[in-house]
Amino acid sequence: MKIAAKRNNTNSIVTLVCVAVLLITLLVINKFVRSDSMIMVVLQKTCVYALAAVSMNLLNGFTGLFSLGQAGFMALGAYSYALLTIPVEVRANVLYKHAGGIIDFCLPFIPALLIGGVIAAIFAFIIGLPVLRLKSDYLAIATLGFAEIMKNIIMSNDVAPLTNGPDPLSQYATGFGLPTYLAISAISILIIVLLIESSYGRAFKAIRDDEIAAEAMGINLTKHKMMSFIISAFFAGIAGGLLAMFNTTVSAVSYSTIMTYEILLIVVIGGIGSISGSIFATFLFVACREWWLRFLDSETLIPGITRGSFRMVVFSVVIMIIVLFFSRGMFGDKELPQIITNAMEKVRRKRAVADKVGESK
Amino acid sequence: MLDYLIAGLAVGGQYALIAIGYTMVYGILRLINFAHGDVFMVAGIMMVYLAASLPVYIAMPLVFVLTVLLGFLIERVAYKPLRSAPRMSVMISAIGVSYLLQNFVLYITGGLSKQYPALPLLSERVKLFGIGDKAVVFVTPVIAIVLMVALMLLIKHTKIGMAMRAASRDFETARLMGININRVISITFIIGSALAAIGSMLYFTKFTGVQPTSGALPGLKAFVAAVFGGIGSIPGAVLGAFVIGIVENLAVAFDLAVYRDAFTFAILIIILAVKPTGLFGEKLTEKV
Amino acid sequence: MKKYLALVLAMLMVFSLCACGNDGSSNDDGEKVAYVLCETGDTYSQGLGTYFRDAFEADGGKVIFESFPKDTSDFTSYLVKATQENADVIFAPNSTTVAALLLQQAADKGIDIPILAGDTWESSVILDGVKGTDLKVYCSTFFDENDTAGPASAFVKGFKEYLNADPVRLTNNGGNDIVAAVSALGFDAYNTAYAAIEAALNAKGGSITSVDVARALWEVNITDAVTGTIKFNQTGDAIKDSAYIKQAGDGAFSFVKVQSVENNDTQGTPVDYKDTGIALDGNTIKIGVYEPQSGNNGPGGKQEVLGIQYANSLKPSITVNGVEYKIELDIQDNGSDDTTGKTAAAKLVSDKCLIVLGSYGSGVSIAAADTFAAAAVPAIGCSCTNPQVTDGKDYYFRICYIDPFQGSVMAGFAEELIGG
Repeated sequence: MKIAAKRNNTNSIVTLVCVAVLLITLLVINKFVRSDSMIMVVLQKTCVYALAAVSMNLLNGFTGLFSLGQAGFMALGAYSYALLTIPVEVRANVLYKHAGGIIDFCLPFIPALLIGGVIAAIFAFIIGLPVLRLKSDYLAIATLGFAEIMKNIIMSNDVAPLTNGPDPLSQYATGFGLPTYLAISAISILIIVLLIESSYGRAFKAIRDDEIAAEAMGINLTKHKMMSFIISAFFAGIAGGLLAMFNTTVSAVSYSTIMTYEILLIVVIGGIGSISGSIFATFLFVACREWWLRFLDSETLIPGITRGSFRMVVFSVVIMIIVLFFSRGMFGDKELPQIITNAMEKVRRKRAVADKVGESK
Repeated sequence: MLDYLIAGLAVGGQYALIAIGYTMVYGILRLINFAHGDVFMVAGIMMVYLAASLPVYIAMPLVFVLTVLLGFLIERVAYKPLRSAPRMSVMISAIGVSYLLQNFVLYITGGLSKQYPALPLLSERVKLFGIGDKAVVFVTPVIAIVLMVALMLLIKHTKIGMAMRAASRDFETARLMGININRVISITFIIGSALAAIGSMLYFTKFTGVQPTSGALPGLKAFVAAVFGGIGSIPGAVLGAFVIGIVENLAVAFDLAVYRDAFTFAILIIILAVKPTGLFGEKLTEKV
Repeated sequence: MKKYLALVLAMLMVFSLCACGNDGSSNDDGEKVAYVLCETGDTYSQGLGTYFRDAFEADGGKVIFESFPKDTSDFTSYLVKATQENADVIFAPNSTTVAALLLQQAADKGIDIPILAGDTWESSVILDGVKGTDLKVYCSTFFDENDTAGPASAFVKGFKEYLNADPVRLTNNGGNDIVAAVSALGFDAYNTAYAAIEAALNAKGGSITSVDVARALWEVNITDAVTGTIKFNQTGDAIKDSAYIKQAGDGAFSFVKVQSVENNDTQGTPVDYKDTGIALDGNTIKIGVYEPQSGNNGPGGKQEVLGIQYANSLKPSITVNGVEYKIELDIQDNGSDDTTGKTAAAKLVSDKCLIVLGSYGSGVSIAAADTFAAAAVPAIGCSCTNPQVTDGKDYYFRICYIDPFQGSVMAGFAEELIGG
């Protein structure tokens, strides 16, 4: 008992240190690096995708609900955010086919983001009623279907006065720096972590491990599944709003199943059930895809072999290797602090053994 | 209106051939083989390149063999090593393969939509029921149904078919009973890919542009068809494919063109809400 | 099991019955009907389709406007619809990927309605699609390849040689040496950038920044460009008054006519730029190329890049006051996708490009505009025709005509075609 408590203690200290190191690094980068350099853009995108990945992990990794609706909820968040923050005077330009559309007010960006999350959550509730009864793969395909339907509806001419239909949105509130993305993403992830640590989180994990046993223990399956689904959608909505902020234009076609797959890949590469894994995997994924591997597209690197889109071939091979040889992901279902604590523990034990051996000699 | 129905039946037949591959693999491995649609696309691309340098009569069987080989290899390289891993990992591996195939074809073709070669007989223009179109439109549903019946006979009456049924009923027990499970799985993938190869010839003869994402949407639709019919059930998959093909085309007739994909999924969700394992799906029994 | 089978069959029957009632919506009152088919979420397609509709309806025609989902490959039902609605003309401003599928299926269905499209269709993909069919396909474009007198002829000759010198270039051009209009635009965009940089260097020597290049762009006046005179109006768009209309035939495009619209815009004056931009570093000038190399617009993007590379091979350096400045192209793939585009733009900025060329496709250009503006790097759009690309964007210029212009040109041509 005492050892466990002590371990818990070191664990939380290590966690604090990890978070502090991460934040300080990011703040230093923010302070000293030009705001338009590559690392800043990659970090901004990482913040967005990390939130999306963590919200997906909450559902897939911690509750064991295999959902592929992430892109749909992100699209809802993105559209809400964009539509609510277009300044009134440019509305006629953006929604030029609909004389400015039916929304004629403009909100500051934080409320708009939150409303985006809430709208995604409301839709999640409506969708959850029929689909959460479904099992594993059926749930996956049904949620994927809903994401597609949502995309289709947003883009249809029937709702065009509201959403601009098939045309993209632009000129809404954008141009925020890394600290904004970081703050929103970090606070959201913190809330998710607190939730997972709470008794609700333990109920989620119980459902993941064994639904029937969980039910026998008195966990209300429907209520908890719905809760997890709605919360995940809420944060996916916020991530969608952030992505809209990042992209400076929103078009429902971008929120495709490919985006869902990419987020799922990130979750799996980081380790299903590991928040820190999702965050680090997001950074690696985004940085490789968008930055580090770009040199492979150059035609002069290896004439005849490297040319446009060679980068994507290499990237997908790397992903396959990770998937095949590290099938449990980078961190498995552990968190980074835990891994560090365990490693420290191991070293300490080894040293203790060595000391003992030394003594007995 | 007949125009729309015929078009729907043709697309349905093409989806059906892909859907069978999905449903068989799922029946045995409980794996959504996301790469299946891309195998279908790669079959199309191979035909484009092979037919450019070889006579079509040689290119066709060659494409068939190569596609089967590709399906077999994917299973061996990407799925077999993960047999004891969690199911999620295998599925991710499938998504990874799909990603790889698409990007590889993108690299090879440069993303240009490639013109599919004209195949003998299938590409001929004919007029039936007052509707003029390529012959492939009229023969596709027939081919799909003939192949489905043949496959069902195979599964019902041959030894390997019996092994397949056993494996899909209970993987572990079948293995304990001395069934060579790896062989069964390989054969499943071979049959699935063979049908995808035939499907790709029919599909691309009608929709003649092949590009890296050509397989994605038909693949997804075919998978929906498989789920709709009750995944694991071959006639279910075929029926589902026809329903989806027809509904898609009718959506345009009703001025609902923007919603055509939405319809596909809406039907799926309605079916799942009524019958959570699809039309002909077996009831899931909970093992405690 | 039988129960469900019956249910499905019943559903289908009801569905078809309802559908039959919908049949036969014909219009025999002599009204001109245009069937406009656009891709959802494609800024270019939707914009051009809308401008066409507005112009066509303004002249008393009727327009059926339909959008199909991304990645659609089955267009048969849309074509059936067009014939059943007795359309006199089909306007399908879409990517070449869509075109390849659409044309083949139109041929299968024996469609004899003229099919019109915008500038993207001037591509070998269309010729492949039209080959061996009776389709009547027209598109608008930026120059006339077969013009033997003007600057176009020299470009066409040289560019063909350039393509044939390297098999990779031929592959990127679609496997043949047909000159696409977007290559000509890429060529002109490079030369426009070249002229601006040269002017800036002449004025300030080696200490120029991207802002100086942006200011110099307002003064540019190129009269011998392949696609006509290039000087920018106050929005940043090249002042254009004519579009070329061509018909796709067996193996080549044939010139139909020049469609002109009066344009009274005057050359703009520099806007109020910030003082600091990206400074020239040493003697190598980097020109960013922001083009799709993958995704839906990948093929077109590659053709545009070829034009830029060809121009670069002709004029690889600028010599001012005895100092030679080498020009280096920095090509980044925007993947035809907003999110990837954003990082591609950031990469160009962080690579310290003085000016950016591109992109094929309006959506990605709009997505990158803020990034370029924040770094004070000017960009020249080659074939992005949507008005929003330059509208209110101080750093975005464009050398091609814009969609409202193109839409009304095509609507006018459509009316002539049906009327005559």
